[in-house]
Amino acid sequence: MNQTKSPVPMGAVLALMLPALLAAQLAKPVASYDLKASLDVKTRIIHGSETLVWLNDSPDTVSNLRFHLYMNAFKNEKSTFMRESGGRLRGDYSAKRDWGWIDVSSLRLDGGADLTKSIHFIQPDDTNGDDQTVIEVPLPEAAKPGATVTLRIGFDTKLPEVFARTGYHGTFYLAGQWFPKIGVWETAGFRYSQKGAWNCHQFHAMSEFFANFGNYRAEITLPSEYKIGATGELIGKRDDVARKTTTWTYQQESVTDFAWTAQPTYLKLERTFVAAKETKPEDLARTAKLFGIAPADARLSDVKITLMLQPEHAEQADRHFRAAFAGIKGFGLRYGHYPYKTLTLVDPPHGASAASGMEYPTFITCGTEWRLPADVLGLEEVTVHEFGHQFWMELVATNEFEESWLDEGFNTYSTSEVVEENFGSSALPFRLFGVQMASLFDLPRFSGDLENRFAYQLLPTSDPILRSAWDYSDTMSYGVNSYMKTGVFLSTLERLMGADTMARVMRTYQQRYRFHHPNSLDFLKVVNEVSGRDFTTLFDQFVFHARRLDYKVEDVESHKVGTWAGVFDAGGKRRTVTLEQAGKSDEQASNAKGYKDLYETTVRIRREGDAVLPVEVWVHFDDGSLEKRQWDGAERWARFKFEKTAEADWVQIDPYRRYLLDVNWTNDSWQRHYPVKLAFKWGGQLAFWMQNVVLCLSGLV
Amino acid sequence: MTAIQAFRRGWSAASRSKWALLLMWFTYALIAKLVAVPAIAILLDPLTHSRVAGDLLSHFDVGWLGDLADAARSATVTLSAAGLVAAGLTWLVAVLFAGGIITMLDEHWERFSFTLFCSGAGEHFWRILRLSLLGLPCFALAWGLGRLPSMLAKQVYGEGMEGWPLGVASIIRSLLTVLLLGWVATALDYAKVRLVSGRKRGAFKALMYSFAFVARHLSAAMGVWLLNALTFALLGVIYLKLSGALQATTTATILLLVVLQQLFVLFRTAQRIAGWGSALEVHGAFAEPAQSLFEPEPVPCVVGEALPGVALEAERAPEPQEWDGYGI
Repeated sequence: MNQTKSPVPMGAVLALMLPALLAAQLAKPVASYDLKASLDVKTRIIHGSETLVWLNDSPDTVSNLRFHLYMNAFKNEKSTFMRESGGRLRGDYSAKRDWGWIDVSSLRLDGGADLTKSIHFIQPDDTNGDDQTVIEVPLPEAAKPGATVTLRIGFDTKLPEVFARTGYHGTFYLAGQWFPKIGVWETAGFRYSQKGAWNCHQFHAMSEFFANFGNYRAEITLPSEYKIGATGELIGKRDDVARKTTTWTYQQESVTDFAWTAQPTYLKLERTFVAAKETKPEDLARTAKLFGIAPADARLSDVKITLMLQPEHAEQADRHFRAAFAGIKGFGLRYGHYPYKTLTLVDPPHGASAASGMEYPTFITCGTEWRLPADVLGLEEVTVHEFGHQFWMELVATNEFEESWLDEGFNTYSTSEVVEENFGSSALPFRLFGVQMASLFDLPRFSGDLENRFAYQLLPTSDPILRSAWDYSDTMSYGVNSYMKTGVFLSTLERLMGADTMARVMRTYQQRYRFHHPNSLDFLKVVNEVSGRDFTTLFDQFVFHARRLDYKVEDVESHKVGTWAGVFDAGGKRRTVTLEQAGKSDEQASNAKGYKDLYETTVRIRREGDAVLPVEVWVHFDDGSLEKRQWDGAERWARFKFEKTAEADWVQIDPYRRYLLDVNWTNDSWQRHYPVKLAFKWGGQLAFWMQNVVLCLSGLV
Repeated sequence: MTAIQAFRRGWSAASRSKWALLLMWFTYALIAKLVAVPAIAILLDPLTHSRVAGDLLSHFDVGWLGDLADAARSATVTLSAAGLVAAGLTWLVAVLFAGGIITMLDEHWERFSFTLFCSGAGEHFWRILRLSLLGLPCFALAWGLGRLPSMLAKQVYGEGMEGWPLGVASIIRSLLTVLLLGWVATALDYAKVRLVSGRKRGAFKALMYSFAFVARHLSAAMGVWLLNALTFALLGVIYLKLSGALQATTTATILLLVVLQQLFVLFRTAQRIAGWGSALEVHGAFAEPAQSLFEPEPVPCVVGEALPGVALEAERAPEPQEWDGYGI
């Protein structure tokens, strides 16, 4: 192992750093790292060392430590990650030519025992004894509550060919989850924990990460021609002319991770989000009014943005910056300012799309392609989304392994709002001979909300929203539930409680749990508290269970009510009205001036799904009158009867379309008139395109 | 003969073929309905009495398609079956139209003769059917060859860090594919003309001959194709712009849209006829005499000394017909 030697003891470095770090401290540092890494571009190996200061921030006595060795997920086909993914993830696949791994060469207590030999692999999630993504180390002396444990760890990380967020491609490097990272000790009452235990999951195909906050400092040594981008602020640069290397030092406090990228040919561009310039007084005033805070508290802070761009995407630099600005402003005004001073945007090169669309603290990877049409908003959506993770995952540091909806789903919901607000809807990427044709063909545009609901409708009940990432029925179900269904769920919640209340819910949740680790129940508590209503039933049916919501107008019938025939007892006398007499009576009545027929209208509503929610039903009549009814949905169906001098001409369930979760809106309404024009128009359209298909086919003859 | 002359004469022929054009348009429209009617029924059934229909009339809401998720699953089989039947019918009808209309164009008829049309369609049915089947691998080959630039670029640059070579290759691939498909389609048209006009029976030979013919007279043959392609693109853009601008929500505007659509379909149908007309012109102008490299003229021969009677028969026999084998 070729470990980088430090001229000064690690403990001393940390001791020196500490006052400066504490000054800007945003979160209690539980796991802080001082990392040193040297990249060997020939072997693709990072030779590294770390000094970890772990605080036992619990009332428990902890007798062992657990670490993630994420990079071992790419070590061979036997890892849990590779078995679950089959070497395919997020549309990318592992070439399985050059594997990735991480070796811990030494693990010592600072100034104490060498624990290297007691390291052993464990598999807390499954029985796959070949998985080496988690290690456990018994401590010679248990860590008392409030005690800190300082460890010095030496490691070598071999980066794989880029796959699943990390690795190399050509001269491009994306180092994510590249160092031994301690798990999270969950004491009783922390999230769902009932007794103190490590939360340190193996690396699964469908999961991301979970970590405590801490302060990070990293020295990264690269060949001098390489350009670097990393988490945090650049605080130092040291050239070694003899070895033709440069050592870059970065530092960031109050984050949960550290990632970096390097490539010699990057276009490194910088711009600053100047809060005073980008936010107008009326933005602040509106935000302050909405959240009941002082305008000064609504202010955002300046952010230095570094864009690591591929040269062939040079013309898209503005789009990246605009998207980042939109994110900083959009998320900042909604949920509170972005508290870090830097943001690094990484544009992975062609062939490294597996590294695109990923979030790390103050460091995100975007996604674009050569000559991406201006009206296709993929670039903006990815950039805003990944930036959004700074709020949903980083600042509110939820457990991505176990509750992916709290980061991906929340962020999907927020991204839709910010993208729609700043960029509108996206065109479909439809190009002929390299020319974008979507507008010529008048193809429909897509907004985030629309995409979310569309995906949800395809898979509405495959799983509850809340699941451990690897426990969804399949990849598709993980995706739909963690992202889109959550987006639809939160939009439904917004429509039920109103946009302003929902905005307050989200901001309260963000502010209350900033630099903490809440769970789904914490969010439910905030929802009920801020809205003043009880949404437990809604959560129960869609977050904790997979119910199907589908209300339907089953039957509507209006028939004329005339004189009744039969035998009637009234006033002690019995009177018989024959059908003829009744008919005659009706005829006479209808000749009277101002007479109107009386109609009995019966409307039957059915609950097709197993989700039970109260719903509003509107029945409209020919005379312009409107009858509104409420139904609790408890039974399978409900019948409403009306006697009026007009027939029903339409019925509408959920008239404000609050239930985005209703899988079918078409059957939510009924109208008496058949849509002849629609049939004619669509019939014509469909026939026209079929005629064209037939003509194309005949051209093959 | 230049491409422009051939193009003009082709369209002139098409303009004389109004009844054939209408017949072709009507038949293809009927076939299209085979799929369109069940599809529209499936689409409209849930909308029959839904208020969503009103919204969809004014503006197509793509989100509504999600409501069809369940219906679409059950409709897949029905629509696939309808699509297969329609494809089969199109194939047969296209073969008949090719035979019938090229025969009529070849005869320089002035008025539509259903008898002549049927005669041509029937007489040439099998050979054009064989030709069309032979055309399939040619189209597949053209499609495959069209992908070469992308495959090569992927081979050379696929592992690279830049996407632009693949982007450029993709554009070249599209252009090359269209060009190659156009070449095959043109060759098939000339092969049909040769089968009909030259009363040939060998579909394979006709096809080979036509590929060579198109290659020899590239500017005229492919020039006509290019002019037709440009006309199609131009009218396509005009149609898309007009239909996009038309907010078809009232009866009048919906009618206008349907008329516009059918005018475009009529143009495309006429283009097929014009293509054959142009091919006949170019073929007539450049085709070689009967003895071709591909179809040697058979020489009647008598083994041994001919009997007097036989010799007499031989003298009386008409001009030997060109033999071009049986079938393919």
